[in-house]
Amino acid sequence: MNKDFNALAWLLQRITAVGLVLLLGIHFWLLHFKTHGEVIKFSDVSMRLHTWTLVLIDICLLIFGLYHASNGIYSIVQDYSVGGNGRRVTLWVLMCGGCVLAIIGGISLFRFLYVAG
Amino acid sequence: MKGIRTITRQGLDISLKTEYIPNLQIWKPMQVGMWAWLLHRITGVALSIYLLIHISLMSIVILRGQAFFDALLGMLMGSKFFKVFDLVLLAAVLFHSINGIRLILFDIGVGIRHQRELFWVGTAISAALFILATLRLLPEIVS
Repeated sequence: MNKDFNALAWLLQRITAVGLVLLLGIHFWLLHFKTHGEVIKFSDVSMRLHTWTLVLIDICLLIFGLYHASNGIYSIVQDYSVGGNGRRVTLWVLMCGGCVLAIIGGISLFRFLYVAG
Repeated sequence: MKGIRTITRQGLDISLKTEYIPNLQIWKPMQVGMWAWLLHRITGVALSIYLLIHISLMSIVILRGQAFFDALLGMLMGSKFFKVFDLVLLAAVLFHSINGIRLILFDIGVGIRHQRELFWVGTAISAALFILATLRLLPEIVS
């Protein structure tokens, strides 16, 4: 069970890595290069995020980013041979923190679907 | 303490055979692989911290409403410091992602024997993209 969990975590780290390369590229392009340096306004973001497609892209970016970062931090903790309790506490903190951030981020993104731009 | 000795002995075996998996107990300052690992880790931690701040701040700003969002982003994006910080962030993202692709190639058995060359190719690609982005943003920073 533990080996399967570790193997799945390893695989998901790679999958999210590839996903992030693509999604971050889109994110950077839309926010920094397509706007030609103009200040981003709430109405611009609202217009862009009024479509489910772009909201889903941002949701994926959020989840992939949080997973990849949390698993990366956990890997560093594992490297230092932190004892059983320390590793367990770190795992729970990262999981809970990641879930909280994902929920907050998701609520913010979904808000745009229902707010007039 | 037996666990630490075991990891050191295993790490030493792996490092000597492959020169790929660096081990903290064996510091090889001139080895490219060691620098790649260290920089990947540093950029990873830095990006994780940035991600935490970015998600928290943007969520709060969005939930506070349009006026607050426009005011804060106007202040941030009008600041030259923020634009320079954006470039630093881009550099970290470029290095971490391109080195990460290099690591995924190793995972599938491609290019392990040429890990040093792949590192320099990846760094060159990162540098080229970074220079392009800097040239694109430079007029806004200087003006």
